[in-house]
Parts: sequence; C-alpha cells; structure tokens
Amino acid sequence: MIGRIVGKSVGEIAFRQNYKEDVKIGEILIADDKEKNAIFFLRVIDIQYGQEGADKWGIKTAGDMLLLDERNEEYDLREKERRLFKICICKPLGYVQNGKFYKPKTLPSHFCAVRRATSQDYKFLEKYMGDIEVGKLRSGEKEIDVKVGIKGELIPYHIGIFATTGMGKSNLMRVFAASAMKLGKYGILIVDPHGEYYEGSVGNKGLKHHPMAKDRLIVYSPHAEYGMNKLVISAYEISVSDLEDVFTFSEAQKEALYALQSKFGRRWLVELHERSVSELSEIFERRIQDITFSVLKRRADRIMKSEVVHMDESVSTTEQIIKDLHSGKVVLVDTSGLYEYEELLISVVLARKILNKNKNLFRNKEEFKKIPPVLITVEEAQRVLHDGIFAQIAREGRKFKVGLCAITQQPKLIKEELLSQFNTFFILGLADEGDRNILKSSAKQDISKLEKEIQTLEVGEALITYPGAPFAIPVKIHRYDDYIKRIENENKKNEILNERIDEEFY
Amino acid sequence: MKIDDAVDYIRNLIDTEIDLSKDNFVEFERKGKGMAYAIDGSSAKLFDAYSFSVFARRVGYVFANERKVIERKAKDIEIDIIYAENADEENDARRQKEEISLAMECCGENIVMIDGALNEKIDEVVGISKKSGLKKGNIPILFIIKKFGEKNLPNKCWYYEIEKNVYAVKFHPYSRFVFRVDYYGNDLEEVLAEIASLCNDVSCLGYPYPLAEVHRLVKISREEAEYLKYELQKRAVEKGLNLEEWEDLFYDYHEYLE
Repeated sequence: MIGRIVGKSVGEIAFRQNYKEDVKIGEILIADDKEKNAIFFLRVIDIQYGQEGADKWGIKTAGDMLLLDERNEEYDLREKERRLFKICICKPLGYVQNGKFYKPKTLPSHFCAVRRATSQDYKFLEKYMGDIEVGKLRSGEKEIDVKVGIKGELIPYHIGIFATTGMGKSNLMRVFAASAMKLGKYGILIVDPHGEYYEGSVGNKGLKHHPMAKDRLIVYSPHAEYGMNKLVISAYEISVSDLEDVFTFSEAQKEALYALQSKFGRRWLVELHERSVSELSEIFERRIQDITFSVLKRRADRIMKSEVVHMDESVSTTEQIIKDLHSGKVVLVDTSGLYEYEELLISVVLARKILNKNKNLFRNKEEFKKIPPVLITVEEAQRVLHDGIFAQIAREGRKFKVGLCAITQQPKLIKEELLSQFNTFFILGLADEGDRNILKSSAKQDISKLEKEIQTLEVGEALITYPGAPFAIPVKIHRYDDYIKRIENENKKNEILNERIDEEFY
Repeated sequence: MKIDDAVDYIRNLIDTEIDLSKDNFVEFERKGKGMAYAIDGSSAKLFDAYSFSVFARRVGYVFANERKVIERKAKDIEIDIIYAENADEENDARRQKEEISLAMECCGENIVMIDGALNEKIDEVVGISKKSGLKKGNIPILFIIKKFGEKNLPNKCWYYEIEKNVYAVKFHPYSRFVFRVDYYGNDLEEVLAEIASLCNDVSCLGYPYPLAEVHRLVKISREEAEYLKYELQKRAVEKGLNLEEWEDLFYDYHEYLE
C-alpha cells in the first residue's frame, strides 16, 4: 500500500504517503474504496513534505543536524518512518463502479487505501482507445501494458503535436505513420522538410524500413530515387491565394495578382512569367504600375525556376498523391533540399487540392462515403496556421474528412481560435510556460493542474487529450524501431498461421 | 507596569550576579548503549460543572534502547469525576499517582524514567522535568545553572546538584537544554550516562527520546477530547438524560464568547 487518503475535496485529493514508497509526479494511482465498491483514479500533481509535530520542529531539527555535522558528532533520527512522510496531492480523474467509468463527482471514503494500478484496473480504458496505436499507457515513468491509440475517426478533427526540440516529435510522427501503414485505411500526407522520415536518422530507422512500406508507403521527391515518384506540381495549379500563404504582398501587389488571375485564369502565373513588364502594363492599360509588375514578375520567375514547378499543365503529381491518400496510403513528400518557400508552396497547393477534391466528392454522398479520412501534417505549423488554406482546413476540414496534424514547438504562436479547432493534442515536454498556458485553455480535457507533469515529461512521454477520453491519457510513445520490429514479428506470425490454415484446408 | 518597565525588570533579573561553585559541576561520559522505560501521562478536562469536573486521563510507557523503541503501550483512557474546588490540581495529583504506579510495575533491571519531578522517595525511578519551579532569588535555577555550566564545561555532558537528590543535567554536549533530574538511588553517574545514550536523537537533542515518544503516545489530543465529550453526551442521552439538562449542567459561557 502506498498511502491513505487524508483530504481534501472532490477537486483535489491528498494522501499520506508511506515513508518507504516512492511516488512520482504524473503517476496514476488507485484509491481502493471497499466501502463503495469502487476504484478511484488519482493523478499525482504535487508532492509535499510532511511531519508529525509542529512546523518549527523540522527547522530546529535541521539546525541541530547542521551543528552536529559541523562538530563531527554522530546522531540519529529515530522512528523517521512514522514521523516523517510526504503528502501527495492528486487530481481525481474519476472512478469505476460496476465496470462503468464516472467523472469524479464523489469522494473516496475516509482513509481509503491508495495503491499502484495494475493493467486490470485500466481494462475500462480499452473502449476509449482507438486503432491508430502510438504507445502504451504510462503511470509516472512506468509503462503499463495497455495499448494507447487514437481513433481514426478523429483525424478530420485535427491533431496537434506540441513539443520542445528533442522530446520525440519525429519519433511520434513515425510511429503514427507506421500505425496508419499497418491499418491501411487512412490517408496520411507527411511533408518532410528535413528528410528525416524516409531514411531515418543516425541510429533510427525510417519509414522505408516499415515491413509494409512497399505496399502502403508512397514517396514523392524532387530527386526521386528507385522506388520513389518524382515530385512536381504544375504552374497551372498555383492560385493567387496559394502565393499569399507563402509570400507577403502589398495591397497593390495583391490587386495586381487578382487582376492577372481574373484575366488569364489558370495560366496567370505562366503569363506573368513569360510576358515582359511593358506587355503586362499594356494589357492592363497601365492601371497597374510597372514597379508592381516588376516585383511580381521576379517572384514568378523564381517560382518557375523551381525544380518542383512545371510549366506544362499536364505535368503534375498532385492528382496521383490525392489518389494515393484516398486509397489509404501514407504519402511522404520529401521537400528536403528545397527552399522554404518551395516547401511551403508544395504544402499549400497540396492542402488546397485535397480540400477541394474532397469538397467536390462531398456532393456525391456514395463516393464521399468511400474515401478515408485524410490527415495533412504540417511541420513548424506556427508558420502557416494564421490565415489561408491551413486555417480554412482547420475550420471546415472536418466536414470534408480532411484533418490537419500541426506539429510545433511554439503553440503560443498559433491563433487560439484555430487551436481550439484541434480536438486531439499530443503534449510532449514543453519548457515554455506561455506554450503550456495556451494548451491548457484549448485542450479538450482539463489539464490545468498538470503543469508540473508537462514540465517534467521525459523524452517520448506524452499526454493525449481528445474528446471522449475519460481524462488526459499519459502515454509512453513506442520507440519507432521497436514498434516496426513488433509489426514485422506479428506479420510473420500471421503468415505462418495462414500457411498452416492453407495446408490444413488442402 | 508598562511594557518597558517589565522588560527592564526581567533584564535586571537576568543580569543579577549569582555565583555558583565550579566544583559542583561534574562532567560525566555518555554510555554507548542504554535501555530504559519511559512513563508519562496525559489528561484533559472534558466538562466543568464547577461543583465537579469530568476528566479524561491516560498513562503509558515506552521501552527503548539507544537504537529503537522495543515496546510501547498506552493504557485505555479513564474517565474521572472530581469533586473538589481545586479539581485541576487533584487531577494532576491523581495522574502522577497513576504514572508512579505504572513506573513501579515496570521496575526491575532497567532504568525507569518518568516525566516530571518526584514528590516521594522512590529509588528505582528517575524523574526528568522539562521545567522546574526551583529558583534562586527570583531567578529560575535551571537558567542560572545552564549559564554557568556552558561557561565551565562547554560541549560536555555534566550535572549539578541543586539539592539532595535533585540535579540539573545536560545529557548531550550540544544540547541547548538542561533538565531537572530527581534521583534517590545510589548509581547517579551510571544512570545519567545510560540515559545520555538515549539523548542523541536529533529531533530532541539532549532529551531522552523515549520520554518524547511516550509523550506523543499518551497525549489526549483535542480531537480525542472532543470525541470523548461527544461520546459521553451521546451515552447520557441514550441512558435517558435530557440533552437540555446536560447542556445546562455543563454550560460554559466562554464557548459562546469565543
């Protein structure tokens, strides 16, 4: 037994900890209420010192210890197991009675015994867990043998992954993709600006090492190697609003851009690139200044020189990417080695095309029903989650089965209104208080008292919040390499089993 | 007397030159090992009807060596009704009697310590008092002895005979306290050396830790007293007493004032 409950209220439970036990912030413990025949789940949010006797006693004793240390005198502190203790402050998460989970609306009995949870205690959680497995349940630093995953149906309701550098974002993303590849029923678009997902990094495997990569992973790259597809978009696919998401324009420049689009339609960028400034001035009867065209032309020329933008209307991989996503594949778009504007442009064009495609399909209910939810991942999401296509997807994507997965280490730089559209949060270690505060106000579970836990999360540890979860779920994210090894082993087992069945059948 | 006058008066008292003979301070060595019984009692006044009072008392003992408590026992709380004008004094006297009685039960080969002074000659028991009414002039004698002792035998264990069988003792070299010890036996230094081996618990440095333990063991807490009051009242009502009468009997206007 770890301790016994001594207070305080429905919102905060305190228990006296057995001197010999070690409890850590974030641990989920069980108050075993025999009187009510219920188990209460308590999350440790703070640990305080306690002593029997007056407060001054401790100060005086410490003073005497210092004095005796100085004099090299031996001394003792007897019965410390009884006289000294710790008070664990817990946030009640809820209770299970007759197999049903209830929110914490009542108190455990007085002096109720507190113990560590077993995987049996967490049995009730299984129904809240989804098919996209990411890790195992965690209590403090201990892993509990209960799989944690989010439901694929939550994909269109957007996912946020928040973590300081080095806390395990890319491992989480790889595990998520690996899980999706295993299932083969969700379209996941990963734009990889750092080239870390395909090959992996030093000592870590990449998505190409996934045992089902051959069938379920499609890679697009400007420098396509064997087994990859060439990444290219057509200049005809780029709209003015796409460019607005990538560059900053003055009002005069914006007017000129829309005038061009209005005049030339889908060819506007090609026309801007091919025509001279004087020609353009003539066409627009000198209503637009030459200097404006000059600036826009320089931008257009730069875009047209990009190795991922093609002048030919028919040369584009966007349609194929969408098809891949709609067939439940994980699509990895390698933008490493590209300029940032090129990477953003690719992301923006793809995001808009996916949303528009799904919007079109939405009109045909039967067709729409067939397509899987699609998740678009955005690295350094704070760069793009202001206005434009990503904000639009955040607001209306759910209706059209398009979700965003915003990955950022600075959630405070994302508009609060947009952040509130994200239903699932993966919170890994976040050092900045401002970042933690913004998540507290936007998360779908109350994480207001989990400040210390978030601060002390180790690499690969996370809290997951999503609507319907009984509480913010603490999770130890699988290590990607171990996870794909497990999938490989499972596949082998299944193959052997299938072979046996075949043999027996014949 | 105004505050400043009171302070001046106390300062004068402290500064009074009192000379104690150096030779009367006797150093003693602490023993490495020791074993003793510690006896203490506690009481609480539950109800006061002025013509009589209802008290709760509990005594107990702790048997310990220099390392750990070997046995602890608290007797059941006893309820006592005292008809006397000086009911509190009478209660103290009865408690002490109960403590002595328990001490006598424990007597044998081991030292038996009791919290407080001894009012009678008992060879087998050592009385250890945290406070003492003994004084020299108007000054508490323990205060003076400690002052001198610190000067004469700094960082040592020592004792000073105040009067026959009554001593001031410093049980630990770095203790900030000197205690009154009543002892009628013949092995004073041996006994003090053994008790000193029980005085190096840093949480009560210089005081025999079994006495601190037994104090905690027998103490009737406010919560316990409240529970006893409630139980008495409940049982009284169960036995047919009228609650209003009960309240009238023990009516304490101060409770309402506070």
